[in-house]
Amino acid sequence: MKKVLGGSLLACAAAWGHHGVPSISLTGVDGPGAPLETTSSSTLPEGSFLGYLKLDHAKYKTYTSARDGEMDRTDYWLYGLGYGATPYLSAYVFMPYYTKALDDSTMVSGFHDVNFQVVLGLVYDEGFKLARKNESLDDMEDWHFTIFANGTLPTGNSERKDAGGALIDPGMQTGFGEPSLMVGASMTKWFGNAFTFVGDCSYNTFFEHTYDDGTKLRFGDEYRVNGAVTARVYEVPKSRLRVDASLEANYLYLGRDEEDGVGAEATGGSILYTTPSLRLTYKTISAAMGVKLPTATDLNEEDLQQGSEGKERYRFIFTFSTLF
Amino acid sequence: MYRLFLLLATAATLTAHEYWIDASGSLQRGHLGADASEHMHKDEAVKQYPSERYCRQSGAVDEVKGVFGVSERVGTACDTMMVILHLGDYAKTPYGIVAASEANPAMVLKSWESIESVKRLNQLSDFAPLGKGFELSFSRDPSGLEAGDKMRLLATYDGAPKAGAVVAYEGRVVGTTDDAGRINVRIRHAGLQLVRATLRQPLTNAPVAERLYNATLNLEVK
Repeated sequence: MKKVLGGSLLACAAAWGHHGVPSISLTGVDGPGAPLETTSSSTLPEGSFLGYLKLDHAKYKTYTSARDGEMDRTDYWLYGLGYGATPYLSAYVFMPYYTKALDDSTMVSGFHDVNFQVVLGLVYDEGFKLARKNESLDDMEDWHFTIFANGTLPTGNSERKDAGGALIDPGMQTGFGEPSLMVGASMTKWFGNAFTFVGDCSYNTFFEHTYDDGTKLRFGDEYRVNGAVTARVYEVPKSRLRVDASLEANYLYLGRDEEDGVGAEATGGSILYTTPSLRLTYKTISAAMGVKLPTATDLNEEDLQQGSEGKERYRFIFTFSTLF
Repeated sequence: MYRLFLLLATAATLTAHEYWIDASGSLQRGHLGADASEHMHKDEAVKQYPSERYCRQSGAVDEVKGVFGVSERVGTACDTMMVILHLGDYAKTPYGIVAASEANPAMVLKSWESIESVKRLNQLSDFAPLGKGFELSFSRDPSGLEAGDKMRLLATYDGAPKAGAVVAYEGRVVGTTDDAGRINVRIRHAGLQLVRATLRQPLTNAPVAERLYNATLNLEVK
């Protein structure tokens, strides 16, 4: 079974639970930057909304030249809406749309499970405090943190069948069939100049689902640790425009899936990605793009895991967000 | 958006000459750190403005009204001293800034009344607002502050907190005061600190369009 980003739905959401908009202060373009994949520690301004779009396009290495059903590409679109309930509490809802294509022209598309997220913002200023409504530039240099929790509901289709009526691989489904949960935390340190350090970690777990054909499957737990350095490389303060360049290290540990209570072959392992990216911010609009490259992998049965995380040629990621 | 424009415009004014009260208690104007000869325009030394001066000693406030100018002594032996200068009415025209009374009304782009206050804390434990006009104070005792610490500042008008005042630390705008009139500003070095806040008050049925308050706070940090 090919587990194709089984749990990445939550990761996608978490990866921008920071809404991806650098803190452009009223005085111009000072403030911390935001990387592409690593979750920065921002909450939405109280009473404001955030519209969000993300494309994660992955192209996979194929092991054979024949058109024999190997995973060719995936396109994950994520549409999101966020709301700043308080200066320290933000809530989001995401609707993912997945397309998964094999090299034999087989394609599966559809909306995946709806995802909800809450983010609690904290700051360290003579002790831990809830994120503040109004911050000076000097306040922005404090260590900022978030704690976030995500949950999906099984609104997607987990019982897709092929032309012959057989259940398609669970990794190709557009739904987990059960709820899933993720918890995580992030930290951000702006150094008061062009540079910002961001780090996060998260844990993602899934529940066992029984498919129509009687198969019981629980996707393996996932652990993520990300670190990023962001540098402001261009700015036009009067126009409130800035460009940030980021370099990230994204570590992912995939637990082995369990099929009928037994560890499934060709699942699990660990991957280290390197992600260079650029972000353009203009007033309250932000667009970012980057390439996520697997630079080190240790998959459990690497030869059998074509199409899984870690076996991409590259992932191209684009995000767009706007506050209103 | 309006707020942003306002702030950017204000930020520009913050790059102009600064006022401060030196260790002797004398009012100075110019660029902090520059030679004394560069402090003032040539006619500044002889300018006198309507003013109020305040000296708080052991909790008692002494007030003096009268004309006052740069290089004159605000007070002596005060825990806190402050001077409020009524600099007059001004107008911006395509040809520069002139006294409002001298401007051709058809040429006026904007106009304002300028009020400048400068306060110096000699005893940091005497940090509460004087309650006189627009001023910067501390929201808690700043005694013992060092470089790297944050000043917990409070902007007030006649003692009441003022939100939305633009605050700059030695020429660099760091933000605006919150709903409680508070803002945090980090001390970047030892010695004389110069924090400045600006507040704009629109006027109606007045010779000028708005009143522009600038308040400077000085203190020494070891």
